[in-house]
Amino acid sequence: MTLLLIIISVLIFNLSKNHTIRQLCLIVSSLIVYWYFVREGILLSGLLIIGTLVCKELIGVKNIKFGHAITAYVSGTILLYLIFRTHGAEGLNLPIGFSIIMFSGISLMVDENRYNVRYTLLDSTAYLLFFPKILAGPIERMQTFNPQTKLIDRAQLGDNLYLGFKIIAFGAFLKYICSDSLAIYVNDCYNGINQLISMLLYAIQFYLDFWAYSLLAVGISKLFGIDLMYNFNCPYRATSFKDFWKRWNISLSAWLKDYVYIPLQSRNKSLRWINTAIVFVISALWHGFTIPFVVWGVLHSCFVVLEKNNTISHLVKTRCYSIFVVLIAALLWQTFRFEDISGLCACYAKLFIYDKIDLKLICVLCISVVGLVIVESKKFQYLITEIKGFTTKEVIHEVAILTTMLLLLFIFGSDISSQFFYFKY
Amino acid sequence: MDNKRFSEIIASWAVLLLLWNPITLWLLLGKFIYSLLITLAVLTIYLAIYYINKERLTIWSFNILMIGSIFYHSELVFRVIYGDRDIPNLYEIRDGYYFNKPFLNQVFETDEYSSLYRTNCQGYRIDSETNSSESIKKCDWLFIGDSFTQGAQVEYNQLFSSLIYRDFCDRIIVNAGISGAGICDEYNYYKDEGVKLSPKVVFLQLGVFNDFYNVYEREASLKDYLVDISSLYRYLEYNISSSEELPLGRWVEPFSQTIQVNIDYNILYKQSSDIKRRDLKSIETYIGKFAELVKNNGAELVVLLVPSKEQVSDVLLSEVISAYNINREELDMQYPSVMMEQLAEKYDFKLIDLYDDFRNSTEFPFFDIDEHMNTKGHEIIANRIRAEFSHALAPYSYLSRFNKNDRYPTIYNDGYNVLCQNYINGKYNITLNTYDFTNSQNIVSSKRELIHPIISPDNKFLLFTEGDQDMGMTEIVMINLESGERSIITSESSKYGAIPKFNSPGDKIAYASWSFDIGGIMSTPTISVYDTKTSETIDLELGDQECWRPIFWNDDILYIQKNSATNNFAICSYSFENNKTQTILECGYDIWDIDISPSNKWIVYSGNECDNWDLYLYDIESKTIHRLTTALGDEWDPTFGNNDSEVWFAGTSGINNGIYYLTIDDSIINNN
Repeated sequence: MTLLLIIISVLIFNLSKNHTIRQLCLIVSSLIVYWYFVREGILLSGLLIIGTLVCKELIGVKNIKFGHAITAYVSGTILLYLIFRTHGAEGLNLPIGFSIIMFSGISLMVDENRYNVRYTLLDSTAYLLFFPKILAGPIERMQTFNPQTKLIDRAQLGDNLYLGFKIIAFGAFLKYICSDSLAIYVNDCYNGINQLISMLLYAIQFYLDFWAYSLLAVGISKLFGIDLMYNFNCPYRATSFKDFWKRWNISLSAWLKDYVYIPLQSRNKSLRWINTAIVFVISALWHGFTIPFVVWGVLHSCFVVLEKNNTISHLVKTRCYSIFVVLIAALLWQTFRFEDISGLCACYAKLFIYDKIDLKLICVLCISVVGLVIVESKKFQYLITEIKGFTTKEVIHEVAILTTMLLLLFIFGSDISSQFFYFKY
Repeated sequence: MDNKRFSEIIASWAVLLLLWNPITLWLLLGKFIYSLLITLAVLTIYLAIYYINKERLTIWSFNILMIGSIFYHSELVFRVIYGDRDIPNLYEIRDGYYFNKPFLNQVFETDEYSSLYRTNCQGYRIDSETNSSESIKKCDWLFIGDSFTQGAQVEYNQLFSSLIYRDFCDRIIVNAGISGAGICDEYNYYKDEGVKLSPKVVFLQLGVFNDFYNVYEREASLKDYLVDISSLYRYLEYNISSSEELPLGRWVEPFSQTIQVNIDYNILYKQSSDIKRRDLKSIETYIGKFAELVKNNGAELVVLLVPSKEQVSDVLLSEVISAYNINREELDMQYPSVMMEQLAEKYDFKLIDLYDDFRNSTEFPFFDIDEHMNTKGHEIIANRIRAEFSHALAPYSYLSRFNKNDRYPTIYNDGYNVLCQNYINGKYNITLNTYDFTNSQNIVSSKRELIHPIISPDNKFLLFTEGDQDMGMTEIVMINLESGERSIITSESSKYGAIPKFNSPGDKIAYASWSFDIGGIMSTPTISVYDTKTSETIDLELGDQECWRPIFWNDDILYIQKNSATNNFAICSYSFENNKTQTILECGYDIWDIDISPSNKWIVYSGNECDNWDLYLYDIESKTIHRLTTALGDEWDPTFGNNDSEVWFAGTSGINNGIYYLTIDDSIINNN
């Protein structure tokens, strides 16, 4: 039923020339999806959206000082965020999408003030609610989102739908075939080298899962003719930690840079490393109020700061350093598996317990790495994310790839209810 | 159309006809018209695509048609050549849940067990002898649950829902357990199907696995439909999934090697997560909905909480926590019990927590490799239910050992033996049983129907009806138990008979008799009396309405006769002295299966007052009626023992059937 309603929304949106109807279509379809996914949290999220819109309007109409308003808004949302994050065990669960609405709300208000533009309530509501991105990003900016909702190009409709379908199929393939298949190898029964391989497999699984969701968001959005940013750019090919964060969850990194790091830097340039640390700690706490996350944030910030230091800067961009970056990033992703530090320590401690090499794990790792290289390759990405200018050979390749993916999904696709990792952040 | 285009289309159609051939489709689908339509649709689609002339569309179409063709040909080849490897699909997809397919007849065999799994036309589990086309319309107790209730690893008679029948044989008990069912499936089953049976008590069995994780409504996936339609897919899926090694060499649900999975899905693991909290909240919601729905239907909800192996055995638990590096302190093995206790109080339902019963068992109640209960486990649950419902035990006893269609009991040898008929393994038998049915011995067996057995008062002759009941072609056969000599009482050509009875001295036999005329029309059944000394038979003049079931009453005969005005059978008597008939008892309902007590004070009969057959006692002197049974099932063929206070009868309660024993005391008479 939900799917049918979305299809109807897509059709109305694409066929309508009236901007208001198109905006309403986005809002209604988003509410339907939101109701389907986060039924119980819809009230809180609705309040957050209303709060955002009220704050935004107050800034403009009543001439309330922007600084005060944004401080009140950020404090209020962070307070709510803190309450829900720290009282999860008592049944107060943070509704899915809360952080994306919060980030989008802040950027909306700041950008209106920064670029001196005013968006209508309808524009802002459609932007805040837009469902493909609401669950786990990417955190699109209003200035790139809003113009696209007004752009009517029916000639592109077929291409948009087909491209959306391709990207959705690819995202589903990454999630339900690739990522979910690795789940059984990520457990706590390994020691020594096997534990290391299991950790690396977790890093791949974690990446595939998040990338898959972002692709689904981009694909679904494309059905509406709206381009969202690709949130990942081959992160495990990063040459440094700084480079890694330019490739991983690009929209969040950019958001933190634009709305946290740059404002901090503009106040005191000499505290660059502290500002970097603050950004990482904020990012860590956004993921959860646990010591493992703090450890993760602090260590990443340390590595980023150290890279800027002249003493090791010569190492950066060497192949060995790239491997080191990936290895450390993979080891630090384990912080996402444990809520307490003892579990995390026990996990790392197992690295130092001798165990016979499990050939099956080695095979799975090799296949995963080769698979990752293939799906990240330029040719593969071109076939999936582009549509025009294909030669007959390329069309045959494209169709063959998509057919294979769909067949695998059809036959071996895991439980569709399988959760995305990042929905909880 | 130019020649080039025409030849292109014809060539392509030729290829498509090879790929989507109506003959091979016909072999697969079994319906030629569908096969033809599919082929025509394929050719038409190609024609449309040819004229649209888009490269991408053409390639996609070719790919899909080719893959579809490969798939259906593979399926066909598998079915034709490897048909013996077909894994039957046991379940059918329904709205919001799945259930047993009807008419299943499967043997499940592993290294640990072998069991027969049969279902009736509604998908409910039945034993080997029950007719699968018989449906259950009402029940008293309905057991809903997962594979623990379904108990596919043990025989029907070893299921806890079958074991309790011995003590609650006045109830129709239905087992609606389905492997893998969670509380949402169970709720949907009850809402859609279970409620139609109008159970008075709904037993909801919960385990610590299926019911405590992924608690949400499931919609059938494409995979489910594939399993449903494709033999090849079932074969591949089964062999791929079953080839996976079991951790620790056995099932260890709900434990996982991954801590996060334990945090998210293992109810015994203390640490929680959003996923687990969501599931727990959902369980509460569904339990609440279940309790409310059951209450609204005027029934009682009883939750049976069955523990897992690791909850029961500390040794097995140690194995798991050691292999999976789990800290014992991170586990709360009784959390499900505590949670259910709170919910039972909140939603006002009865909780039967089997944690202690299983732990205190001297014999391990589970299989070693399989995670399910063995016969001991089923016994434990049955015993606990028996104890919890001790106030509601059946007022009579169930004597038969299992369902074998035992009927028509007669008591002889001073009440030490019960003679009855049964039908088992495709054969009709007349069996001699000890009074408690612990020993049973076939006297006569035949593929022909052998019914209404009776022993002469001197224990020398066995009398019974033999033949085809449906066609009305049955004869009265007498066997000399000492010499084995067999004689037919209804030896006269075209004369048939049924339901014979001896008189007290044993020199006369009364039975219902009829004949067929040349045109094959059956005469109105009347009562005949055969004299064993003279071998003469007299047909009684009883009017133009059919008469059945004669019994001797002092020097007269009691029988039942249809009343043409009411169309119901009534009890009548015939006097040999004056050849007069008299109506003894006429009710507003059908009467059947009469018997007279040794003191001639009571007539016991089966009456169809409430759309089912119940037993009644008629006091000949005071002309009062006392109802003996009130069950939903049918009770019939009552017969007195050596005194007025003992009645044996046959009956069916849904799937269960057999011979029962009832003691008539003052309380029964006074209460009715």
